[in-house]
Amino acid sequence: MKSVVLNIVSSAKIYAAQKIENLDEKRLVPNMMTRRRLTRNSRIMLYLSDKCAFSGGKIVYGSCFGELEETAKIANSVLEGDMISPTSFQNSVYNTAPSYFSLINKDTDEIITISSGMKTSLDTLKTAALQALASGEKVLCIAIECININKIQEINRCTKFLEAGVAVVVEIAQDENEVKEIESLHVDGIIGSLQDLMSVANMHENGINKIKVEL
Amino acid sequence: MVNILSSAVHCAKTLGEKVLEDGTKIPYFSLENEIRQNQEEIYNAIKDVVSKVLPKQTKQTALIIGTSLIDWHLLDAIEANEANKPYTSNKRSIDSYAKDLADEFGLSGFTMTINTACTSSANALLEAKNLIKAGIVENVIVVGLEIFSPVMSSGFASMDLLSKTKPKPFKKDRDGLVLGEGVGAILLGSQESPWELLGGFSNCNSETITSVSSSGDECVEVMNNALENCSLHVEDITVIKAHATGSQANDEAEMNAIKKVFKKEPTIMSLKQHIGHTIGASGVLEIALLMKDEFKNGIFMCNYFGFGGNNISLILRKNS
Repeated sequence: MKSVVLNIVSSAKIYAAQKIENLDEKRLVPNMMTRRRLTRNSRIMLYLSDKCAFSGGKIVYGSCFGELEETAKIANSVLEGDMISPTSFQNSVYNTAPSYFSLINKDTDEIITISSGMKTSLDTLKTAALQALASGEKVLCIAIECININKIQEINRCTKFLEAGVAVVVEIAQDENEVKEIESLHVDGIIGSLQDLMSVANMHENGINKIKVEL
Repeated sequence: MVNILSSAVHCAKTLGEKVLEDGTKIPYFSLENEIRQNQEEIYNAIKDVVSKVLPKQTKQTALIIGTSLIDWHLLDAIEANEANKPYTSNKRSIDSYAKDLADEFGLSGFTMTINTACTSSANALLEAKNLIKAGIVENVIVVGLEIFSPVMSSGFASMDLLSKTKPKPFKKDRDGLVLGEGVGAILLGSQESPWELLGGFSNCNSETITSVSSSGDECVEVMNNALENCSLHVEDITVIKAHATGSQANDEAEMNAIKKVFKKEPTIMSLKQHIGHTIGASGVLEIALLMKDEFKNGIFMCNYFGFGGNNISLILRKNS
């Protein structure tokens, strides 16, 4: 195994028990028609990337459950024999959120989308480290879960926060001075698939700017 | 140097038919021994192709899966709710296959599941090259997986993108894509092989959330950058394995792009008329099939374009 030392350039996180309010959509997406099409994951992605001052470049995006709201709409239509909404289908792929980011910011750089269960944000960070290593560029590493769908309370056993997201911008460090191993600084009640990246964002909030990632 | 050492595929041989929930019949490339939406069958199908490409140095081997499949826990949960039944499930989640297989075969701890729609396993191949080139592992097994999904098929039907007859890539009378299922594995490493993965380029660029412009300029960018990344010129390319879904818009965009990039077009081939559009698995499956063909030496460009503007061109060299 090889370890990679990363500078944390910026970080941001957000979460809410039900729905995250005020994601600053009107400023971030002035075009109303585009704004109306955005999924919840896309809105949170645009908010977090703005907080990280990231407007373009390589992106590694992670989500265990993907576009759950749109997927649930399609699944319900299939089960009930109804017509499927083409918009829901278009918005149901895992890479919907980074794709909207790319369209809105006119960013044509590479995106990779990872879904690795409860290890999603850790695998997202590892992939971002690999991307930074291969390209020598800054990489936005972001993980989002929005599971606020109808009747979710009947099956939700894993989180107090139905909407949550976390982002860090990383780059390869030139040296290992003051580098830290990733500490477990979880946020209580956050879904497990985001906790590893939450820890990194919390480390950054605590003044740590350099981490070692084991690939 | 990153080479393609071996491959194994399990894909459809003939065009059949599927009936969707609403009674609509669609042409579909099903596997002979259909893998139902049964978690053990899916796991065993992946295990079978992985076992066929397994290298000796398993501890230095990573595993990446490329698929567009969603998590069936969700469908079960929704169905249970609709029937007012309590929801319980011991099923595997899609992403857990890679980790379970890594444990079962004694592979290195590095696993990843990439979901970028139609480009999933093609992107996985490029990430695998990065892993080997960076010296993180010696070998990577890349799996492409796609199994019949009523959600996906109904979704494509809702967009009026499915053919009513058969796939006719680049033909004037093409009337849409025909989906297919399959699973395949490719082993990459630096050991000797006639097939080398020279590299490629992946971007995220489209006119809308689902499609590139008819000019094909987004595809031009990805093909030109792939050539540049591999230090090649257009005249070096012997064959283009086109994405060629058979849909009116995508084929037009890709053909326009090829005309812009190549002043003199090389041989253009498509494979979806044989196995269908296997979405997230198409990267691995189509390259594995390409390698089985009796090609002479040459340089091959393989295109994949997907939802969300995810586009990738991979470049391979055969030098036997």
